Parts: sequence; C-alpha cells; structure tokens
Amino acid sequence: MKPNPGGQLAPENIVGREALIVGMWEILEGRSIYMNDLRRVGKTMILRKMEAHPPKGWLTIKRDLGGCHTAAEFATQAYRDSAELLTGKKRAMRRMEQLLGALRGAEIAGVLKLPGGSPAPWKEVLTRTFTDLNEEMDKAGNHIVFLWDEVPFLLDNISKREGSATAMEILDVLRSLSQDYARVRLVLTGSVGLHHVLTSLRGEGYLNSPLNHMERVAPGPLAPADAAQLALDLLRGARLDCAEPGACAKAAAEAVGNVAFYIHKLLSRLPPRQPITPALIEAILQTELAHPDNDWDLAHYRTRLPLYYGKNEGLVLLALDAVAASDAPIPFEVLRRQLSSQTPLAKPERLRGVLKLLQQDHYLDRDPDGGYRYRFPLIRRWWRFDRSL
Amino acid sequence: MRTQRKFISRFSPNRTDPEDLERINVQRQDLLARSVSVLRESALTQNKHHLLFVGPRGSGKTHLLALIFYRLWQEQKEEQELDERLRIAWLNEDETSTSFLDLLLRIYRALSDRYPAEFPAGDMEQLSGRDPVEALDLLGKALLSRIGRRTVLVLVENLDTLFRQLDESDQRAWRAFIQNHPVFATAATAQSLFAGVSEREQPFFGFFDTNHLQTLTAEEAMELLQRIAQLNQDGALTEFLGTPRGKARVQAIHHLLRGNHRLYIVLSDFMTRESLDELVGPFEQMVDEQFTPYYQERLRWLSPQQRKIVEFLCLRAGPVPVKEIAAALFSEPGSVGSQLQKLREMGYVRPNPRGRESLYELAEPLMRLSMEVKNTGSHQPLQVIVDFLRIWFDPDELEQLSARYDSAGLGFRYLTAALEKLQPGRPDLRRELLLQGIENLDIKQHDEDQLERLRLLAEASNNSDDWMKYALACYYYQRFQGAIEWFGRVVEAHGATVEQVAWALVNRGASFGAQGRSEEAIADFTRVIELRDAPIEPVAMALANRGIGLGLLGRTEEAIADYTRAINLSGAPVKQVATALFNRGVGFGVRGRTEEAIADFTRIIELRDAPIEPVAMALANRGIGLGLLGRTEEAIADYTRAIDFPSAPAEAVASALINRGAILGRLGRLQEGIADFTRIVDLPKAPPGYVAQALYNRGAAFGRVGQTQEAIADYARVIALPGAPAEGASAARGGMASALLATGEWNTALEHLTQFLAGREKPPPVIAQVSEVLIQAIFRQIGSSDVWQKRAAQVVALYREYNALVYLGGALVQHLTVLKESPLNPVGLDQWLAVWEGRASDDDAMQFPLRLLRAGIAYLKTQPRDEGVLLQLPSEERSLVRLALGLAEEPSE
Repeated sequence: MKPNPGGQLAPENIVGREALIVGMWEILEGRSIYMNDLRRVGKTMILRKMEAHPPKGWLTIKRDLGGCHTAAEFATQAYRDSAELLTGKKRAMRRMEQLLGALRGAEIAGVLKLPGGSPAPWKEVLTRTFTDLNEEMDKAGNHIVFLWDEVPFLLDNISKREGSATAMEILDVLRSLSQDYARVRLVLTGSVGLHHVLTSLRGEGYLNSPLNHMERVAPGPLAPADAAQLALDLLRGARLDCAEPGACAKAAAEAVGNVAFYIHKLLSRLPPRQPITPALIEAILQTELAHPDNDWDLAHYRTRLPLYYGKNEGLVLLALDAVAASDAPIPFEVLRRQLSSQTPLAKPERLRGVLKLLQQDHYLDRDPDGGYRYRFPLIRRWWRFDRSL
Repeated sequence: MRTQRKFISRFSPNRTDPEDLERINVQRQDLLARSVSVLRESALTQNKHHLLFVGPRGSGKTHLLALIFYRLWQEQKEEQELDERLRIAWLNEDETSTSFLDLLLRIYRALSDRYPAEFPAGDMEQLSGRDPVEALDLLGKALLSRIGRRTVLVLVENLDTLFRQLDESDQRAWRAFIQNHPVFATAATAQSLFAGVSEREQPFFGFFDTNHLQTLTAEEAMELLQRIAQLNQDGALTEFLGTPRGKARVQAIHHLLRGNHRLYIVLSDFMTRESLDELVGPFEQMVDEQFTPYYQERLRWLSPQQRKIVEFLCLRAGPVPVKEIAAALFSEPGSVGSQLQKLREMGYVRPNPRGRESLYELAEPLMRLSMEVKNTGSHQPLQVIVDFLRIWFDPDELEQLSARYDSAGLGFRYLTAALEKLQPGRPDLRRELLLQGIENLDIKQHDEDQLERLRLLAEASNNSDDWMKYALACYYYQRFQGAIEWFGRVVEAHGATVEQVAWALVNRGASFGAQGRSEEAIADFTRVIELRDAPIEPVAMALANRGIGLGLLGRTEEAIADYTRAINLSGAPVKQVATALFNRGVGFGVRGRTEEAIADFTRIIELRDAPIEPVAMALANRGIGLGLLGRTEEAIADYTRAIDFPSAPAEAVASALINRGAILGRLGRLQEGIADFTRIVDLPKAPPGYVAQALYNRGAAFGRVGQTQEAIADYARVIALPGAPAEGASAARGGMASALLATGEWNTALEHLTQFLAGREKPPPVIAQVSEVLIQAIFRQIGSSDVWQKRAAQVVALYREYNALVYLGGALVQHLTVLKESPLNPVGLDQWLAVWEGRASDDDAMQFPLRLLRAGIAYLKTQPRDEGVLLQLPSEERSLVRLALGLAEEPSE
C-alpha cells in the first residue's frame, strides 16, 4: 500500500478500528448510530470496512448522499439500493411494487414516478421501503443497516433546493423510521457535524431532537499500535530508505496524533532519495505546517472561532492557549485561576460552558482525572506554532 | 550551420512528441515516478488515488500530465493486466462544465473519443431532450456499466476553474459519485491552491493528494536548457552552457524568468543567433492572445487596491519593500501589508524575506509580460525579450547579429532596442540581476551558495570590484586557489586603479601565504611595497605580511626589519602599526630577545587608539614573555588583564587562559588551573585548537589530582572534537592511554596506545610521558613475572612496529627512580632486567637504554650501595644513570 492521503482505500488496507467496529455492531443490535468527529478522522473508511465485513446476519447498504438534492432523489436512492440488494428475492419490496404498479421492474431514471407520471411521494417511498425491508429481514432472521454518509450535505442540499421545512421533515422521518423498524438500522455520518445543520434549522423553528434516540459514536484517532502499523505499512509501500522503520513509523504516527489521514499525508511528503529518520520526519512535518501554502488547513481551528463562539472568542482563545501551553492536562480549577488573572470573563459557569462547547467541537477532551487537554495532538502542535506558545 | 530544432509546444505539451517531453523533463523525475506508480496502483487495486498538481501558469503542469499519460500508455502496451484494467479520460481543457452533468459528459466524451468501441457515442445521444436529473441518472449508469471492473483515470487541467464553475451542490454530487463508485482516479492541475480543496467546510477538503510544483532553481534551469540544446542537436549552445560565462548568463536569466518552465522553453529558441525574425512575431502573438486575456481576467477579480499593488509590481523588475509600495501608492504600509498578505494567499505575489522585512514581487513573471503588452501597444518591443537579449549577448555579438537582419524586420527592432540599453552609462542589467540578494553580503561570512553566486557575478562582470569581492569571498572561504586566480585578474586588469592593484596584490600574497607558497607571497608583497603611488595602508600591510613570510622562512632578522619599516611608515594606520609591532614582538621572542619582545607588546598596549584585538593579544603574549623571565606574578597579571579585557577576541582570551592555567598548575594550584581550562571549554567562539588544548590540559590536571574518570572524559572529548588539530587529538589518545593504565584497564589502554603510536602527529613529550606510565603499569604487577613477560612482549612489539623503541628505552631508564624506592630484592631486580633483555636485546634502539638499565640495577643490588659499579659506563652514560637514580652529579675534574 502506498501513501494515499484523501483517496479511497481497499478495505484490507484500512488499518485498525476493529474494536470500534465490533462495538458499533453491538450497538446496532439495539439502536441506530450517529457517528461524528472531526473531518478526515476516518469516518467514511469505518463505513467502508463495516460494509466489507458485516457480521453474520447483517446486510449493509453504504451510500454517500451528498449527490441527492431533493427528498425524492433521496427516497429513490434508498429504494433503489434496497431493491438492488434484494434482487432475485421473490416478492421482495412488495409494498413498493404496489405503489409503482406498472413501472415495477422497469429501468428507473431520475426520481420514482407513479403510473400516472407524477413523482412518487418521498415519504411514502421511504416508509414502504423500510416496511418491505423490515419484513424481508424478519423472514430471513437478518438485520440490515444503511451506512449513510454525508447526511449533513443531503440536508443542506434539500434545504437549499426545497426549503428548510423539507429538510426538517426528512430528519423527523428518519427519526421515526429508525425507531419503528427493529430490523433496519441506520449509521448516519458526514464530513461536517450534523449539529451545525440542526443549529441552522433551529433558527428556522425546528424544535425536535432527531438524534436523541441514536447512540453517538466519536471514533477519534487510531489506537497508537494501529497507527504505527499503518505508518510502517506505508513506509514499506512507498519503498522509502529507512534504516529504523519501526522507530520512524512510531515517530510519524505520534507526530500527527495517530490520525490515519495525516499519517498518509505526512508519509506522502517524505523525500524518496533521502534516508528517513525520526528527526527528518519531525522536520518535514514542521516544514509542512509552517509553509504558507500548506493544505492541512489547521488554521480552520482558529478562523472558525469568531463565527462559532462569538463574544466568547476571547475567553476561548485564552483557554486554548493555556491548555496548549501546558504539557500536562489542566484541572478545571487550575485553568480557572490561570485565566482569572488574565480576564474578568473567566467566571466559573461561563468557563464551564465554553469548555463544554470546545469538547463538542473536538478541540478538547478530558483525561480520566478530569484534566483538560487537546483531543488531537496535531491541533495542539499547530496551535502552539501559530500562537507562538 | 542551422540546428535541427524540435517542435516543443509552449501551450499544449500533449502535442509535443512525448519522447521529447521525457528528454526535457527536469526536476520532476521523482514526482513523475511516484505519480505513475500510485495511478497504476489505482488501476490494479481498490486503492484509488486523486492527485492534484498546483503551480502557476507555465510551471510545467500539462507537461507533467502528458508524461503521466505517456508512461501509463507505454506500460499498458507492455502489460496486459494494466491494459485491461485502465482507461484514461483526458478532459478537453476548452470545454466548460457548469454542472456535474456537464462534467460527467466531458468524461464520457473523452473516453468515447479515445475508446469509441467501449464507450459508444450513442450513450450520449440518448440523453438529448431529457430532464437533467434523469439525464444524469442515465449517463451515470451508462458510464458505470461501460467502465465495468476497470478504473478510469480522469486527467483534468485547471481544476480550480472547474470548481469555480460548479456550485457546491454539484461538487457534493461529484464527490458522492466517486465515493459511491470507487472506479475513478484523478490527476488534476490547478494554478493555485483553492478553497474548494483546502477549506475544511468544502466537500473536497483533503480529498486530493496535493503536490506544489516548484519553480526551477538556477541549476535545474541550466539542466533544462542543456537538455533542450541536446534535443536540438545544438552542440555550440550545449558547449557554451557548460562554460563559466554560459553559467553566469543562465544565472542572470534565472533572475529575469523566476524559474518559469515555459519561459525557459520559449526563450531557449532565442539563445541561438538564428531566426530572430521568425521567433519574435509568434512570441508577441502568444503573449497577446494567450497570456493577456487570462491575466486581465485575473486582475478583474481583485479589489481596486489589490489591483493597484499588482499593477505597480508589474512595473518593477525585482522585489520591492512594503514601505516603498505604500509610498508609491499613497497608502499606509499596514493597509498595503494586509492586502499583500491576501494577494500572497491568492497566488499573485510572493514574499522574499530580507532580514526582518519582506520584499514582494509578482509570483508569475508572465503577468508582467501581459501587462506590458496591454500598456505599450503593438509597436513597442517586449521588454522581456529585449532584456533577454541584452543579458544573453554581449554588445559586439548583438552588433554582428543586427548586421545580418533587415532593418525593417522585427528582429532588427529588438536587437536595436537591446543595443541601445547596452550603451555606456546605462544600467548593466546582467550585473544588476546577478547582484540581487548578494548586494549587502558580509564578505567574511557567507555560505557555499552565496559564494557560487559571487562567482557567477564575477564571471559575467567586467567590473574589478566584482572580481575583488569574489576573490575576497574565496579567501575567507579558504578557497585560496580561486582567490589567487581572481586577485590575479584584478592585478592584470586594464583600467584597474593603483589602489585596486595594491590591494589585490596584498590579498593574493596572503592567499599564497595561506597555501604555504611563501616565496610567491613575498614577491607579491614586494610588488606592493615597490608600487609607485600605492596608498600607505596596503603598503603597511604588505610590509607586515612580508615580515610574516620571511619569518616563516627563518629569515627572522629580515622579518624584523620589515616590521620595523611598517612601524615607522609615516601615515600608516594604527591597526597596521599594532600588527607590525605584534609580529615583531613575536619575532623577537622567537630569537630569544624576550626583553625586546616585551617592549614591543608594551608599545601596543600603550598605543593610542589601537584596536582591541592586537592589544589583547599583546597582553597575552607579554604574559608569556614575563613568564619566561620568571616574573610569574606579572605574567599572571597580564593574562588576567587579557582575559578581562572588554570585547577581547576569543583567541586572545583563550590564549591567556591556557597560559594562566598552565602557570597555576606548575605552581601547584591545580584546581585554579582546571577552572581556567574549563572557562576555555565554555568560551563561545573559542578556536577549536584552544578548546582541544584546554581539554587536554584539564585532563592532565585531573589525572594529577586523581580524578581519572574526569581525565578520561576530557581526553575522549578532544578525540571527538570537530576541528581539533590532529596533534591535539593524538596527544589526547596518549593521555587517554595513560589515564586508562592508571585505572588498570590494560587492554583498552593498549588499544588507545596503538592508535596513538600509529598516528602521524605524535608530540614527543606525550610519547615519553605515556611510555613512563606504561612501564610503571607493567612494573606494578610485581610478583607476577608471567604478566611482566607477557606485557613486555606486547609493548616491545608495539613500539618496534611504530619505530618508537627509543622512547620505551628512555622510560625504562627513567624508571630506575621507581626501582630505587621499590621493595624488590636482588632476585626481583634481576627478573625485571631479564624481562626486558629477553624481549629487546636484539633491537639496536634498545642497546643503549638496556646498558644503562643493567648498570643501574647492578648499583641497586649492591649492599651497601656502591656507586663504583657505575664506573663500567663511560662518563656521559654514567651521568644519565646517576640522574635517573637521583644521585648527585660527579664532581668535575
């Protein structure tokens, strides 16, 4: 395997995540999942690995929904994928066939249409599809899971094309479907957090909590051993000149906080005609991060703050600076005292609120003793560099 | 003779013979190989790579895509599996895609054009008149069905333009299509990094494996030009490019073209003296039709202030400080700085750090060209070509060329314009360009790259100052041969001033001196001394330096005479006088005229306005003189003054510390001595020789106070010290062997001793000292005559191998002192003697010491001690034995 930052990987080349995926299948026994984490942490690769190796008794449908722009396209896609999966099964998708009547079996282009030529009502399509699937799974004693990627893009597309009301309806229908059919589960994810879409919809009056019944999963970085193994595979795949591959792999993985995408990216930047050493890896990463034209976009973590934190931006900056500057996790009280000497804004409850948001946005997390630390060492590293800490 | 010029398309490298593209491929070999490799992997496995090459116009993006295509195409011919699994869709650059449907159609059309049987055009025809959603659905299905189990490599140029044409929902659709159907790989190009791929909220963020294409370095530009010349079988140009003049000119051109691949390729045509008429017209047309609309469009995207900044930079040939831009535009530097930052992010300008500020210039030299076309109208020669001609050709070459052209033709106009700018009094563009970045260089401190740039400037210039500067740079970089050559050019130059000649001779002499060529050095200094109307300063320096040269040849009295002339030279700068006094003082010291030496050093110390360096050195050296006269306290006082002298050079401080430490050691104040040696070790910028000496001395002092491990550590540091003199490192090995012998580590000690004896630079006192320690170490094994035998055999063999038995013998004799105080009885003494006689009695070098040892032992065996047994030796040998035994000298007759 060669370094492939951002590209698609064969399932056998998706390293690690075994424990996480086992846990997700266990969760799916009882409920659907909303998977959310920072961009490029590997969510799509997890779906791909789940799709490639489902446990016995599970069927999967993986779909990137970013290409659907209307509710009807979305519903049509769900139906089409289901029908394709069940091809050959006699009288599978019975209710949908009833709906489509004469069109059944015909090649469907675009969105589903009723015998009269009018578009099939999307809710009806979704409901009947789920009902048919549930029935079919029940008969066979199986479960099926829709691994739906880019759901936030789907909702945003629909909101723009058909209005936010339709997007809200989609959310409600998904909530209902995922609760009503025991043999059909969903794993929803996307590049950007669904909570941003929800925030936008809430501004337009949406009051429901469509994700409440779902288990939330944040995959985070790879386990250190997996990350080092990935780096080792890539070092070998790229045929780099490396006298200490184990040490170099570990150094590369640790330098980017064990995030697979960044491991691919960092290793793709290593020079082919130079002996690779841990020191060189460190130097290359620093050069990358310091380069004005780098495409790591870690500046995003700074530039988004005014938009998402508004008047709390100053406090957020101080908090992130303090945590970045500390080599050990900082307990709340220590952090509060430290910030209080710098700003009158660091009142306990306000600070707690800001820290909670920073955790939701994956900047920070807490160690087992409750101390605050950066969730991703790479972001801390960039923050320290950018802020000259 | 006309050369066989090959067709190299400037805008469509895919129209150039790919074999020729391979031949002129420079800088990108690794990137190309890696790209082809990962795209092969995309075709043969489920791993799909998406590559994006980012670089400004003319940076060779299409060239790279063409080679990727060509190599894969070639590999497909030879490899059935790849042939079956890979299809390539090179999208037509001129088509527009305002929707994902359009894009998919382009992909299909590209495939259909290349593989009509596999991707029939009929699939597209059936879409006509359909609703777009339905059409997209049908086309997607048809495409996927036709692709089957294969992988399609999509080659897309100007991806940034494509992203601007597609709205976000279409980008999402495209990404979803690729994710849902992993049968695509991509190799795309873009002018600059753009939000669609680099911003985290965008669908394609992080999707592409981005590679920034670098501009050519001067060396790579040279390689490109050489390859083009070879491709065109242009032997004359190939040869010229290999000459110093050719290299210098390419360096100057490099500043003009800023590493832009396309401009090099275009202007390579102009390097031959042929067909200027045929070249200029198409070039102007190319700029007018291809570049200008593009750059004007790019300018339209900018805010008015940003546009003004770019337009201003278009008028400037080189990088400009922010303040200067702000002043020219009547704006605040802060505001201009922030706009420049945005322009940098958008790829319009690039910063050049200079100290703490940044100078800005256009990122793309082609933009200036297009602005010029817009501004000057159709009848003005393009500046870039005029500049190129005046850099590339000398005036006489241009004169000859213009004579061959029709005065009504385009070529003649350009040549005339270039010649006009080469008239005396006009700026020398070639020199100005080569000077860029090295104008304010500290000639004493520069790197290899800067030295090379100075060389190129010197090669290209007729200016003696440039030659002198490069020669001085060579001197300070210790490239003495280069320095001698270029100082020589100044000496021989027509029109060089007397002052330039005098300085060049002084410096050439110094360079000869540094090479050990004293006679030539003295000859140069003599020429300066005798040079009519030469300024005083170089003459004073020549006298002082000739004195050094004469001193090195052992002609000390002549040296002293030269120093005296320099000291007495009317109007000589105080620095030169101080230097001459110092050297004369040293000369006196060498001759044993210590009082006179002290007097000279005292004159320097008292000299008004004398520079710090000679004063500090004079103090350190007066201390040595006083020490030699036994005036220890005064010596220590002088060393202390030198050490505490404000801003004293590290060498003077280190010298004073070494000597003070040594004196203190001799006075038994070993800890104070160790403290002085430690100060040298910690002294910033201390010369490595002094550091090595200090470590060695400290090691010895540690050894004397019983801190053997510290001694070993110091010797090890000397051995590993970069830049330590060979003699110092060798002495440290000897010291190390001694210290290890003291700790009983015989084998390790012997390893170091072997290395020490094997070395070329062994100080005799150290050999003597380590030999004594060695004999003592062997002797300590009293009662183990086997060990005595074994070790004696080892060391005799070792010393014999390295021709050092004389030292071993000396140490054996010296050891009589120890024997005298030892508890050995006569039997034991005989055994000791037998050990050495048995091992070394056949060695000539050992006959003499063994004889002395024998006599000494005979004396030690007598009870009571009878000095009469020593009478078997001649008197001079007897006195040596008596000395070793600590007996009083015999009364003289």
